[in-house]
Amino acid sequence: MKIVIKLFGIVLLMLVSCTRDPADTRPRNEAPGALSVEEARRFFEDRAERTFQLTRTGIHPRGFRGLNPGEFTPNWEKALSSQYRKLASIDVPIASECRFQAVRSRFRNGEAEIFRVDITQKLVVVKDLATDSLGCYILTLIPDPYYAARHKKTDLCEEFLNAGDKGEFSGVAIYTEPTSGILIRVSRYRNGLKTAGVYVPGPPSERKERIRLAKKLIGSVRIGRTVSVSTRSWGEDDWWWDDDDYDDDYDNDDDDYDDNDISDSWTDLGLGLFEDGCYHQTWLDEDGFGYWVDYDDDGHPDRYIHLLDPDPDDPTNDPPYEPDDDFCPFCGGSPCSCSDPCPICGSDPCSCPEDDSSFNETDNNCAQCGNNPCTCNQDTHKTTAGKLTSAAKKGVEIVTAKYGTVKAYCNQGVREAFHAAFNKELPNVNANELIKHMKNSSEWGKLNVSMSEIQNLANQGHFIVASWVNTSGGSGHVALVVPGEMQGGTWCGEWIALPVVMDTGAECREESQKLSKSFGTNKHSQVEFYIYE
Amino acid sequence: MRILIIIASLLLGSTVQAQTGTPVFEVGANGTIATNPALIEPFYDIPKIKTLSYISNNPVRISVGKKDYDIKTGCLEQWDDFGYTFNVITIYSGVQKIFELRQPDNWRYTYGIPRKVSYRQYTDNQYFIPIALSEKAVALAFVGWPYGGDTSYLTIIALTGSDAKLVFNKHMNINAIIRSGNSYSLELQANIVEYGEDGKPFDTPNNVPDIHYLEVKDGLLYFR
Repeated sequence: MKIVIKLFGIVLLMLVSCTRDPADTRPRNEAPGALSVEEARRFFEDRAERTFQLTRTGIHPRGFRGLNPGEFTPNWEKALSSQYRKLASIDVPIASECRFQAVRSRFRNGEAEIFRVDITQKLVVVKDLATDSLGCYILTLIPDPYYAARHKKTDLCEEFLNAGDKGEFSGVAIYTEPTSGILIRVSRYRNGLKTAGVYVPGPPSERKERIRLAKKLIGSVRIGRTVSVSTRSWGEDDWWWDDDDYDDDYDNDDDDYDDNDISDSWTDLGLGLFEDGCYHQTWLDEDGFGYWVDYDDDGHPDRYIHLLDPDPDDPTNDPPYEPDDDFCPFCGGSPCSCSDPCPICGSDPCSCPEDDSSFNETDNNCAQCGNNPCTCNQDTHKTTAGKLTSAAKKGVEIVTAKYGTVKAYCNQGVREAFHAAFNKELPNVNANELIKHMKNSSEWGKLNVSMSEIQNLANQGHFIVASWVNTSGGSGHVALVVPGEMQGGTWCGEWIALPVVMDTGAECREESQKLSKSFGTNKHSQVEFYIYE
Repeated sequence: MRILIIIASLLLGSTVQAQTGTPVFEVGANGTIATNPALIEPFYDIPKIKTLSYISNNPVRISVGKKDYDIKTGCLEQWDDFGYTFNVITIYSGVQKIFELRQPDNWRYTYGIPRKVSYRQYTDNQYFIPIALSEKAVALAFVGWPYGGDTSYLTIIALTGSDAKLVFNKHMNINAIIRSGNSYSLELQANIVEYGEDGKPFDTPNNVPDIHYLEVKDGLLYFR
């Protein structure tokens, strides 16, 4: 028996020791490729060297809203690379002589409240892989107060990658040219998603409008700056603040622009050249592709700076600016939820389930159909495009809040949207059974029309479900066609315009995405559309 | 006594086999990779994509022993592009392309996609998760786009100093990656589980998680 025990011991020992230390073969993002850290560094240092030789005093501390960091040192050891579409980016933390804060204020219960957030700046070197042209910019990140409050330990330099992950960043990203301080781009983010953006250079006829939009995106904020020469002590007394309060009243004429802004500093010199009165004389070329700078102030241009949009998205794809008057930058809620303690739950902010404010019209709903106006006498169950869009949004919000963002709840998303649109219930069953219900119900009909007709019907407010039955017994899939513009995509091997759908399937909580993102190629020919008639 | 020893050995053997699973691939003496066809599902076949040109992303360099490889992903032109996705994987040794894989659907970036699971802590590039096996072999795990009705594709390419091969391709979500000391394993789920409005799984046939594991043991990758 002892021998058996010994044998057991030996075998067990062998089992335990068989997991040896694997060699470290982690990849390095330093392959000779589109943009290496070395190439980015060479490009920046070449540009900086020429510029600094010309200016002698280093980089002028002014610039767009005084956001120029002054003299700075990039920390190339901590550079991070990212790439999206045809833009590669190297993001480099900087040690600068200037440090910035942003202040937002508001009146609440008759008292002024001030919210102060730290501003993060870094250097980004970008390369357009289609043209091989490079550019370098100072990226200034101004977080919204609610984001800053919840991410006090987050290093924004790492969290926000120019051509990559933006984490959950909410706030404004401002790109300026490092040597001249010229404003290049402003993008606004909410929870890591770009909600609007504008590339400022461009044809002179559009420039003023672009600058107005840039100011809207930055919003109501005051910038404070402190300069450290040698001690790097950032005492409160070191701060100085803009003279002007940047309010949101952008509907007024251009007289409202503050004198620290570039909008009124461009002077048309003719021949497609514009003089920038910011600090160095600068001439922007007519098409906005670049500009000449007179660094030594001798009245002659010294260097042509080619401009490159630092955002990986095509500028024509910047989401249009849509004011969200209900959005509160202090709590991040839309509508604001940072009111006094809720009389119902007693919490501040309120922790009650979200109210149904988007459906206030239910106060006068028809008792039979639940709609306002009543649709009992209509021959279809059509709702309105606006209400269908809101219902889809509601479906995603409820699924996300109740079940998280990972598991498959496509059935529940459609059910919640249906309930929000018609105040009626679909059966609480899985996707396959839901499709069977639609197939067998007299209230539902199968659509055999073109993709564009399906989108047209949804745009008119018809409730249409895109569906795929899993005949092998596994999970099927459903998604709601939502109002919107069709998007190009591949379907059954052909590039066509596709409807957009709301989808709450596995790892998917999308209010609107093109159909091909919801169904894999092997299912395209089996996808059917059912309309609530 | 002999009978006892034999029974004990048999019991241990079967236990070890069940715990270890099937080797995903084997490496020959000269570094050649031998695959297990049962672990490689073919992609949906659309011949058209074989001739489409594509745009490559930034390469990522992987070293296996003294050999360097550049892994390039790419997007087929005139084909669906979701942003943060790709449908071509190529591997270069110097200027020579030694491996190419295309599919009509998409693989997704490992991190940086809004509202998608991020694998950032397991990789330092946006395209794949590296799985270190030994000094002679490394595996690269690519994650498919999460289309409805299926779990995402998990595609694994193995690299040795002299070979690169597709060794694993199945519809399997990554539930978890467990790194503890010297051990490394992936918990996988082969099926979609659906839930009712109470958040509980429907009580229907097959609506329970079909869990599998990929584990690194003794420099090899096992599937069970």
